[in-house]
Amino acid sequence: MARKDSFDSDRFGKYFSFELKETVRSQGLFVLLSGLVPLMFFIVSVLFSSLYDTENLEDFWSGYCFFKMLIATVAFVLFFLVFPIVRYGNLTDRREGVMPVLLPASHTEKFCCSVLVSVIIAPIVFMILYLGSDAVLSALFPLSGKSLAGFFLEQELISYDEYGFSLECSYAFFLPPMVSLAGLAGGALFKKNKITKTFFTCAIALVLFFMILFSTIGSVDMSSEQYLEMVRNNFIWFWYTVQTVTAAGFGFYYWKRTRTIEL
Amino acid sequence: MINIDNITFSYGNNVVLKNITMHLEEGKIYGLLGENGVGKTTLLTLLCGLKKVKSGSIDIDGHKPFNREPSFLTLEYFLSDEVAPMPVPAEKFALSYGKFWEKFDMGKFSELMGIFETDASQKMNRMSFGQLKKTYISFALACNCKYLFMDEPTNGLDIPSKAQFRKAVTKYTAEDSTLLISTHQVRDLENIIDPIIILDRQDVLLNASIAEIADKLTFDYSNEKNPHALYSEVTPGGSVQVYLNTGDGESKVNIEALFNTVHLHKELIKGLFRK
Repeated sequence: MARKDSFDSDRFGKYFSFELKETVRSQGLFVLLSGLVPLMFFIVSVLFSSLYDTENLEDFWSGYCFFKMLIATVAFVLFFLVFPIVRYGNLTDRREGVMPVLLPASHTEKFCCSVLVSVIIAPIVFMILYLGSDAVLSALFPLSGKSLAGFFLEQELISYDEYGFSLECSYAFFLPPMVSLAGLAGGALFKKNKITKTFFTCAIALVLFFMILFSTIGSVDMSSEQYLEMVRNNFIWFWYTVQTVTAAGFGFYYWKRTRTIEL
Repeated sequence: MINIDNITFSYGNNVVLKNITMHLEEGKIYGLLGENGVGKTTLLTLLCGLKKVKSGSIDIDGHKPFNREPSFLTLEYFLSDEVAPMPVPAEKFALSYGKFWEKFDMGKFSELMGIFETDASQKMNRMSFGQLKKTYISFALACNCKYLFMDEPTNGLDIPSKAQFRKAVTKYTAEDSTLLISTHQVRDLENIIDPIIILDRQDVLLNASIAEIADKLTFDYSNEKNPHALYSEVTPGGSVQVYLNTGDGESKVNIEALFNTVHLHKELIKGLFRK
């Protein structure tokens, strides 16, 4: 039976397994080292803690907990943004892009694989490694505070108030896909200095977005109580919609760009 | 069958190919010649689907190359002049990439690597440029594609490797395969390319088989000066003159002399070979 040119499940399976192997081979070490950032941060902190006397050691380690959260936030966002560029940024390179572009698989299959790898599989593996190594450290050295995973698990997924309920995790639910898809789009858009250009483009776009948002809200005549009520009622769904639309926009751009890429 | 119909391609305002029309038959090894910048690489990238024509059309067995359908991609392989040094052993590279081409033959790849005297267990990013090129040539031929497009394949190869390349192409190309090889090193490919295509800026000056060329032009290697010669050149071993064949029988075609003759007498040659 003739294979379909748009999507063939056998070919997709073959391509997907090839993609996974290639990702492990070429970016496995990068994912592993990124996932071990808590360990590296801990070692650095232990070295610094040796400068403190034993009386102030508790203070030092309470500061560590704050920085742990901060570093985790930065590491997560950077990983989600950088990984797709490192993995798929070579598509625009004449020398390295020829093979992946001309490999006999359909554009849909290649697109689905790159999205699956960079938006779902790699972030999940990274998060498991990151949260896992952090949890092991917290278990072995209780002075380093509660683990990040423990902190997240204690957060209520649904909060209730007089207005009804809201999903707390929805703030972040689409954030990793949005950032990863921004990385994919940036990797396909820019020819050189992809990471720097993608990072600054996203940062500038985010600043502009909030400037426009706040100036729009500021121009509406309302009291501070009304303002708080509006935020309470609409922010979650507004943020959820913004992230979904932005993620879809980046995904569509990546699909379109890779469909028509010329080398 | 490759049908190129009135295609145009430009980089911004710089028109590289204009109103190019050609038909390439199956089972032949075409040599694509031309000066720097006439669009040889561009034509190859259009044929393999890496670029899109601005106007006109390319049809390869009913496929439009730029659509990059898997059923087309499995028919072709494009060997670029720049090749990527993958951080894996050559045999592992061949195994993992080769499975996407239905007719890929790992045994043939190993044989070809043997002919090229290149170690298949060596990591590609530790190979010299010539070894890397030979690995990709072996892979390209082992894919057993119907259409093989090669851009300057002998660049970076040492002298024995050029002879090995000729041997590999002659021995390992399937009868129904069509090869299009662009090159400046015509001597490297003499005796294997037939027909010959000579591109000029926005024009095809010649697309003819060796037999047709020998039928219409005489390549005289004697030292006797012919006053009607279209082109003459003194070479270390004697001389070569090219003149119109007036029925003196066929002579051995010298591709370098042919190329220079075509460039000196563009309109005459185009008229002579117009079908």
